[in-house]
Amino acid sequence: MSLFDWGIFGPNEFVGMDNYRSLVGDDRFWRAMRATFSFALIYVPLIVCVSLLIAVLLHRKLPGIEIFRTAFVLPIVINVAVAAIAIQWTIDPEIGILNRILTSIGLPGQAWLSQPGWALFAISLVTMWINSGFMIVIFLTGLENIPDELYEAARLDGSTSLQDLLYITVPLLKPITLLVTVLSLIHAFQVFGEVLIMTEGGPYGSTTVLTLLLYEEGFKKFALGRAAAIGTVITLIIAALSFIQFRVFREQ
Amino acid sequence: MKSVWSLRWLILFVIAAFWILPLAAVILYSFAPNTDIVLGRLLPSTLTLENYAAVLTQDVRGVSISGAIINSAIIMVIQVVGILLLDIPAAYAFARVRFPGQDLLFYTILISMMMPGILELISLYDLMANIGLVDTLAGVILPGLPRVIGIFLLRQFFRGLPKELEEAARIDGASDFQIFQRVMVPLAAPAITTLTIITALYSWNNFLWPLVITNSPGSMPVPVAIAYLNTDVRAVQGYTTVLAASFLTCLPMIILFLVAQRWIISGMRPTSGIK
Repeated sequence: MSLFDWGIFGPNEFVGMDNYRSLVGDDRFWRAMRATFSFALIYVPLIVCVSLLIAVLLHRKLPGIEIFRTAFVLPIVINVAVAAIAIQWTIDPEIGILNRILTSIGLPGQAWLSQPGWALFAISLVTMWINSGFMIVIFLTGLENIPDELYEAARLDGSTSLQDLLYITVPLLKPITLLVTVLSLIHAFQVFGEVLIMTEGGPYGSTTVLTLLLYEEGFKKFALGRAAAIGTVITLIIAALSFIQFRVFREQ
Repeated sequence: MKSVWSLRWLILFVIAAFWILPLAAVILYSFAPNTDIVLGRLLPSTLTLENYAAVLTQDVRGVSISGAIINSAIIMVIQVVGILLLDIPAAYAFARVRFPGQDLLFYTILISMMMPGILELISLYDLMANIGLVDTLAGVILPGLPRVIGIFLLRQFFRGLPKELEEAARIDGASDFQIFQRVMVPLAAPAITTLTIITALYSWNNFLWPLVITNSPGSMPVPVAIAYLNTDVRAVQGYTTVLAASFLTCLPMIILFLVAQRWIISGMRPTSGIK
């Protein structure tokens, strides 16, 4: 379809690479490309580090650990609309709880969603909130596969908790970390609901990611051929990432 | 040793508190009068059920939340039943029956599983438009049925079952179908439970496709209806109404999670091949 001038019920004319050519010549496409990659650059390190940290903290027995695990995994069952509304409202500059807490301890409140830099970060937070439960479970599976004897041996050699983390946990979790990174990258390139609900692509188009551009082209302007071309571009990016994933995994 | 424990406990507690804050705030304020939010109070001045009464009895901008809940329930039941009926036999066939072209067909299914949903979005929409299913429940439901992830999950499970069971049943005179129905399916109950719950979650929470295919408030499922309510929320209706609607529509899934947490988590583990 990306090779046609395709409207609904319309005469669908073959136009070859024209849809792609017009994308390449379109500023909005390149801006969306940049927004998508910026989002991935913020989101992926954020979710990988936070999920790993939480998984390490959750790994060993503690009183009430089940409740903590439930609390961290629970957001995966919250749908994207509600999650976006919950966070949007929490960080709202006028009525949000976060700003009220910040100002009450003397820090300046921020209009998070109306500043280009912060808006992508706020969207990353929501996406992380929804998906990290999944990533934490994957990390926990990896942690369970590290034999306890390693930690006991290290303890005998006088290693500290921090050294355990840096020299045993992190290196042995490398394959799992890679899996989480690639899964998160794939999520990042498909982020949509959070953006639509929280910013609708603004401020100044700074959060108009590729999926949102596809949605606007396809379902606001009904330029289905162009939208299909954007979908193909997203798929190619994801396919390239998956390919890299398989290559790296085979080497492990 | 003890002090290391309590330090870790404290760190977890602080992070968990922040993690739960957005949800806790939604729940708390869904019971508050709207003026509390407008005035920017940190805690509600009084608790009331009026937001819930409003959400359940009134249409807000043409959206009836109870209608959306009914829509979502219909979609969920049909999708769960449909996917089980399609995936269980298919997975069994891939695991235990040899037929020509099996591997090719399985890899085709595997590849279609890895395709991002966004790629099919446009052509599926065009297809639905041409058969007149835009803005109908059938249009929401149908494209969700060939979700092949269950085939993958159940195939792994069926493969793990010992072949001797099948042979023993055959010696007792069971037919192929009886082996499938009386021996294999009951044994696969844990995997089928996981698939059922994961499908229910996916179906209830799916956002992008229902958003695209529905456009009148009457046919919207829950997440789309909530998103629709949330636009222009300040101008039209109180925040607290949206919060009440949000919590109400999440509640079934929160309960499902608390009851079936074990199954959900086992379905997410990388070894089971989900996602």
